[in-house]
Amino acid sequence: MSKLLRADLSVLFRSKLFYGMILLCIFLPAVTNLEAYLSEPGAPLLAPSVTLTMFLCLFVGNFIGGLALVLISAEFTSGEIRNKLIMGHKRSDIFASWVIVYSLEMLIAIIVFFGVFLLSGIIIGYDMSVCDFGEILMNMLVITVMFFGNSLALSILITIILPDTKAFIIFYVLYEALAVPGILLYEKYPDSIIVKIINRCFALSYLTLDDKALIVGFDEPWFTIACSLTFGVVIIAIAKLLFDRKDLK
Amino acid sequence: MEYVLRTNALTKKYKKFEALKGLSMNVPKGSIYGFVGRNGAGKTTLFRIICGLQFSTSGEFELFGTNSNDAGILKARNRMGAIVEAPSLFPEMTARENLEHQYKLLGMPNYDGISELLSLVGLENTQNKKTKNFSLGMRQRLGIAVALCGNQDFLMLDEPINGLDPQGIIEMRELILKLNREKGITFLISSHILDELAKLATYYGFIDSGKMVREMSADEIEDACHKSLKVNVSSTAALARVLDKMSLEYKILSDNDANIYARPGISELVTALDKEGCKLNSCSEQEETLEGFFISLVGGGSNE
Repeated sequence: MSKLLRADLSVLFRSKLFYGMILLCIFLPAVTNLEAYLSEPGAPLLAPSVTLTMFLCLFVGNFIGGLALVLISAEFTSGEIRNKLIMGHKRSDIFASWVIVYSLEMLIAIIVFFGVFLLSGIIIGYDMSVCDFGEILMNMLVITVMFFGNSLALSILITIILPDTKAFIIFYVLYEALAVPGILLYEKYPDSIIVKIINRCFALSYLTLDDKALIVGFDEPWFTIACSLTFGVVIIAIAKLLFDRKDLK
Repeated sequence: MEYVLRTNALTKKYKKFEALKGLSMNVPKGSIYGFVGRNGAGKTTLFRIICGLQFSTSGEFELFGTNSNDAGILKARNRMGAIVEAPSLFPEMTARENLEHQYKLLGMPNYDGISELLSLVGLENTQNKKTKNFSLGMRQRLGIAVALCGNQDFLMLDEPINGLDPQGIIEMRELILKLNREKGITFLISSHILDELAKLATYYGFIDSGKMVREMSADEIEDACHKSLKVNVSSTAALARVLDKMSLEYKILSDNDANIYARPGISELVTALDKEGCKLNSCSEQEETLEGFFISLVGGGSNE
């Protein structure tokens, strides 16, 4: 297993796309903070942090899954999986290594994003005393779990079903489309527990509703974590089941 | 005889299509086993099953004496390398980086031996050239180097010379022969370019529609592809009388042409024909090719 992790990590860190994602995670918060400050000097950090919640979902969430998808599907098309199997690695280990390595990729992206957001806020001169770092950390955890479910797990599942370039389009469309039912249902039945659960499974619908801000604690974070984690685990379990039985080329 | 790979009644069904129909084959240790069959005969399916990429519907195989249903098959696979359809390479990496990646997957403590591997396959001077800029022949040779990273003693190559130019074919042939002779590596090579395979293989397995039609050694093939002498004479009736007297096997093709399945002394034949008032106009030696032998085994139809 450690051999697989070493090899998969080296592929991740060699990828230009990975560094593209890191640049995006630096650029988005830094520029958004600066732009908000310049357009209204002295404004609270709340304004850019609402915009950034949306950017994080729309761009970074997509990128995290997209990168995992591109690198895993490359393993299918390049014959890398064949090499791993011939070398005596179990399918379950290959799968576990993907989940671990791309979860790490996701963590790095989220940490860099939040880190640059807070650091650039300090540098630019925002009043940081309004920030509750405990709440920000909890928000990070919620976002991480949400991205795990419907960005990372979904991209792995789609790649296993359809390991080629079409998978990227399907993932992109699905990532966006899965938010729609939650948002529409929320408008009609805002107090429904089922709608609440549905929304908490999908990052894009949950985080873009009600102007959520990175520095303000999300409501019922543990409930959200439970919903989205369950969703993620179910998707990962289906993906693993399919991978274990899949006839590879 | 010791075998590296033995399959026993392997079957693979894809919904309604049966790619392998109880295939049994035996690859002797140290051999270059030519796996011959048309496109769609089931060669690649067999390779995929042996590599663990696909699961057989029924039947089993033994790799280095380990049954495919035993947990030890994972370790047995460690001793083999394979190129199925295309070599598994990262196009953005150099040859050395690709090998380093394989070393990581194998858990090798260091990169010792990579330079030797590169020079073994003739890629020691590629330096910073990325694999995506390699020729097909270079990629195939690098694929073999990748497959050899763990000092494997069994290589399975699926159509290794497909798409190669004449120079690439020669290089590939020489590499396979070198590895077989110098390192004792057993090869299982599938191909439908039979003339090229005939220059390498020491054993053959002929597959058709998922079934093994026949397995035989190169010597047995040579005997089976027996030579004939094609002659043009003024009268095949007279020739037949002469050959009957000489007790030689023959086949009359027309009034003037015939095939003699033996090597008679030419002067002796000319003298005998002259006595019968028959002239020998021309004669040429003919040999049945591996291709002809394969067609005679499986028939001339096409699977495609």
